[in-house]
Amino acid sequence: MTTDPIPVIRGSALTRTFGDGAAAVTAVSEVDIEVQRGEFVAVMGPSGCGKSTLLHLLAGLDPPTSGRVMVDGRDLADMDDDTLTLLRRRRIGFVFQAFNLLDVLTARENVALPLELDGRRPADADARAVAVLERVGLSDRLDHTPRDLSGGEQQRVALARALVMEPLVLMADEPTGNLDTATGQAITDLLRSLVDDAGQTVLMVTHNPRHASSADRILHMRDGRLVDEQRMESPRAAEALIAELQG
Amino acid sequence: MHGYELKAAYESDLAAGTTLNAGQVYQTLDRLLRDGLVTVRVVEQSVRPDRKVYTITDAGRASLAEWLASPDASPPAVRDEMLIKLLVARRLSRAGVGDRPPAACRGETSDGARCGAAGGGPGSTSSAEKFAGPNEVLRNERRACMARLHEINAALHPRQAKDPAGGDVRTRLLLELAALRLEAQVKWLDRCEAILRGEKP
Ligand SMILES: Nc1ncnc2c1ncn2[C@@H]1O[C@H](COP(=O)(O)OP(=O)(O)OP(=O)(O)O)[C@@H](O)[C@H]1O
Ligand SMILES: [Mg+2]
Repeated sequence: MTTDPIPVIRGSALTRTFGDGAAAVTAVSEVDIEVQRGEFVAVMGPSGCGKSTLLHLLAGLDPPTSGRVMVDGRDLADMDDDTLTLLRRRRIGFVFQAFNLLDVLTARENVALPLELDGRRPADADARAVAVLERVGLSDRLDHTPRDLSGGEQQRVALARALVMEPLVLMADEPTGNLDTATGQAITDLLRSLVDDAGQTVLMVTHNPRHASSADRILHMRDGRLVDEQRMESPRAAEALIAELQG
Repeated sequence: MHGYELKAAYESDLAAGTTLNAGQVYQTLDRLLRDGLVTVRVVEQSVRPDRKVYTITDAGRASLAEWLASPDASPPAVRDEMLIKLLVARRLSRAGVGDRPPAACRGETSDGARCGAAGGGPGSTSSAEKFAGPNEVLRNERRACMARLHEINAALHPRQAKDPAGGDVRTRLLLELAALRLEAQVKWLDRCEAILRGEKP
């Protein structure tokens, strides 16, 4: 047996409790999770089961009450604030459930922002932002501000912003949440192709069964716990599937 | 059209990859003839045997128009097998012979399934005679649906996409239908889980 490579993300016995005493809510409870390089993992579960909280813990956006998070083999608890900030900016691309785009900036400015914060020359940052926006299919919306973009387009800008630093892992919280079937599917297909074509590691939270089924592995969460894990088998030849569907 | 043309058209347009049995084609044509929806005329051929050519009548056209315009909002059969399975599992579990721990806890799966809250409730013991409880029934069905959806997605968007299976319209429509039905099934399973969970023991 070969030893597994260091996972991109590893959470061990992660617990997050909000508040204390009688009002305490344990949003995430004793969760063990690993994501390997190049994997596409989906987390599913009913509203309030702790999906966003778990993602925030894994991205170093929120500290666990107990347990530890390792990113690329490094324990977040051992990092000082500056190191953690750099890790979050450079290594983890995060798409929030509410996109968190800046209303006063255009699409290209929103996407270029992380690069500029990281000290890149504005011209380079802009060129790179334009390239990534093209990758997500928005080359004709570069100079729109978020309020002039549809929900699906804003979602693509948020994805582009998360991808622009070429992160080790892309974490997306309900990237298809408020989108119609076709637009949501297009976003999921885009994530799938990032994994297949660019080897991007993706951890996604979603309510949508079909979108989740694009992933290589599905984790089910209930009441703060991971209760089931399903690894997808490689699909049969399409012809066999179609013959079966036709009955 | 004659019978053979009809058969070929059906097989290529409506259900590619399947074959229609010739007896079925001629039986159907006879019924259409009897009901006055088509007429038939025999064409003599010098080399081959004579053949029958069918032509749609006005009544046939009206019947086709009506069929096309009428909705097919067929509700799923209420005697759904999964619903029955779930109700049986619930009954057994209430009688104290269901709710065995999930397969992973019994060491029966190799795919890394985890034990956890979805499995046996409090007080469940790991006895081999016990049956799958409602949670296990739901879990197994959910897994099967997700695996199916994964295959459908792959057929629509293959990784080395030159000529995706979803390339031809008929197949694409079929795959979308199957995907949305599976999606509905998974959502229903989630509702079942929530409803059963809210039940008083
Ligand atoms: N900052 C906070 N303070 C107090 N409670 C919180 C906080 N953040 C989350 N919670 C609680 O933790 C639980 C899990 O919330 P979380 O946002 O992780 O759920 P979710 O699975 O992402 O839900 P949804 O699908 O609706 O986005 C909820 O009960 C929520 O009210
Ligand atoms: Mg959430």
